[in-house]
Amino acid sequence: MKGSTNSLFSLVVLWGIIFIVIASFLTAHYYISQYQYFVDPENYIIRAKYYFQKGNIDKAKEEIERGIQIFKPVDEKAYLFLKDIKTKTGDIGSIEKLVMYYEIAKLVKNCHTAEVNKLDFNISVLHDDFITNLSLSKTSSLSLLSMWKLLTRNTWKCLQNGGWTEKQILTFLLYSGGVFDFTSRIGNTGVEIDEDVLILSEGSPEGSGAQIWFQGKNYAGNRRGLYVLILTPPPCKVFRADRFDIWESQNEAYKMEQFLEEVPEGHIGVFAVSDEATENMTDTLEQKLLSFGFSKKTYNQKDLVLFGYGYAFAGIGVKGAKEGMAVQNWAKYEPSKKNIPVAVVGILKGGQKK
Amino acid sequence: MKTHDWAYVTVFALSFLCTLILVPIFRWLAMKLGIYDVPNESRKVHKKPIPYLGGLAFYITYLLACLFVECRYPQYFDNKMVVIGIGGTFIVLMGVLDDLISIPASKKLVIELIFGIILFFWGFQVTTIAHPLGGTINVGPLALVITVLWIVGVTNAINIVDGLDGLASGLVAISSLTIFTISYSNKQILSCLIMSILLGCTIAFLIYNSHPASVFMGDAGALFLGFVLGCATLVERKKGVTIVALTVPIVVLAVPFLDTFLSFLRRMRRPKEVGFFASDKDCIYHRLLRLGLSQRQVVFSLYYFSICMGFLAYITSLLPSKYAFLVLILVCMMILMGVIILHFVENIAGEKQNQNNNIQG
Repeated sequence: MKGSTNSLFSLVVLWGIIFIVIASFLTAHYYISQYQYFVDPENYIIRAKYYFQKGNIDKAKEEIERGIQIFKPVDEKAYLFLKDIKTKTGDIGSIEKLVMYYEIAKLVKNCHTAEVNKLDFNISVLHDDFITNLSLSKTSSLSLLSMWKLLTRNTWKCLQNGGWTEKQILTFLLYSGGVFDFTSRIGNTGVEIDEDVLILSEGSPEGSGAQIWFQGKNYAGNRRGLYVLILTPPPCKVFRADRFDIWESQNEAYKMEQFLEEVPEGHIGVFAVSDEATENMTDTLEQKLLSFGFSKKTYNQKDLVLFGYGYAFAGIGVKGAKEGMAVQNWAKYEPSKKNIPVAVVGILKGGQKK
Repeated sequence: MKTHDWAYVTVFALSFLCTLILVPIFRWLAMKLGIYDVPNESRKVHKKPIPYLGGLAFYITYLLACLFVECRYPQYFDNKMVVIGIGGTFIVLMGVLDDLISIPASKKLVIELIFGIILFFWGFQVTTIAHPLGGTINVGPLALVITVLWIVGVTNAINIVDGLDGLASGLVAISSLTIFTISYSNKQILSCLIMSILLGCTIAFLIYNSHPASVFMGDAGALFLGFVLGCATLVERKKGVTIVALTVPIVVLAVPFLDTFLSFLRRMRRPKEVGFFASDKDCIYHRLLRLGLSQRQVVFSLYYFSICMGFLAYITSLLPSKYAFLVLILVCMMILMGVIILHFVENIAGEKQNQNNNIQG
């Protein structure tokens, strides 16, 4: 209305409408986000913490319970994560522990850039040992320390001064969602290995490493792709090891299909993603990976997948095992956050969980 | 149908219905407030005053659709939708001001650049671009410049083509549909959702805005559409899809970009006294109108061209980056060819006109 006489009045009216609209939108958005159900289990903890801080303990517990019910049929890891928190807080009888676990979970998510004082704070928590009767072999201890060094590369020196023990490291990794078996069994495959295996995977955007420790040697590295180590059935020996850069080209996926095809039934497959390994993933390759007893337990947006784009993935399975029998762990890549997804798996001998 | 497919359908339907309902309300408001686009400048092609403010319906529809997604499909909701909504609010405020009292283009550009910088720090970033020989290049500090230029470029490109009935909304609808298709095949849910909103809005708006238009979207609407389109192409930052994030929208938005580019070249050649930012009557659609095409014919020609580009963009998205670059070069060459042909046709038409004038004289 260029040239109109009542421009100012019109401007006030229209800007007024726009301000009312955006204010209503932001208010509605705030309230919806407060009470919304999200797909990430951590959000239930965030809401539980929110209610706890408001003094509404019952509501906080309700949130955790709701998360458990929602994730039970669809996401085993999320379900177990929340159930674990419920059990611990239930035993202690106080929601305070919930916040502590939440803080630890958050801390580990930001492990690479965690502030030193935050780590120090949590060391005190970890003196309450979670693992008893732990006696790792010397090679496994060194492997664990090497893994820990990579995982906490920005805080390593400080941690070294703090004197973290293997028990504390393992406890920390367990709290942060690491998957460990201390009886040497590979999930429910029925296979018991005679050597320790430790697997670390770092996803996108800046994850620069994967480690597969076996007999004191690292079979993975810092290059992008899906690292694989094939072991013979017990007594375990290295059968083959390789890396496939599935982000770079589909040819790599075809090569890996061929590689896995040639693995005899009953052999053990150890896998770790470094940075990214789904960009050129084929359905056939996914099926071949599932043939090691892995299962699709996570969502890449809304599709159920073995692991999504940029996810960290670490797993150990047996060729020919039924789906869901193997041991796997993963962590989501969240582009909006700066933390690096990390997944840890350990099949260890010589310790037991309390 | 999968859950996310339902999400797209319902978001599209909601956006369509909201716009369908809101446009007449804003048309009524514009008439009450006397906010008309009066054809008092030579570059205006409509004959009678047409009410503005249709574009405000897009803005409100977008926000409502965001809330709908957050309520109904929280698993697909991303805070970037809110960021676009907030950024869009400032763009709409500026657009309304421009519709009412005409802000100088230079000042508008400065404001847009500031929004672009804010958005960059809000997470809308082009940090990697496709390498012509495959792979990607990290652009480092240049990311800020590229991001800001991209957002400001798309925003203004849509505004520049908003000169004929149904042209801008139709082109945005075609671009949204193309980007939706590409995002769908790449499983980029957030991008699909935003494109569903734009598609619903623009198709509904075309009912009122196709020739002869009963309402205009105004600068507020055109800038908002361009802004959302620009931001939406940056919401998915998956590695390897960077090529989709920039090359494909460049092909999809070939018409607006071409018009903006030619406009830029024209203005560079102008005498200083006319001024770089002064509007003229030499946009592509003006030139086609001068060749004797009707308004409807011009609009449909440009739709047709945009659809062809859409197909090409889809094919480009399926190719490895080095081939995509070759396609991009081919597109540029074809467009250049088109511009040269248009120039020749204009010359021939001009000569004929002169001959006729001489005969009559």
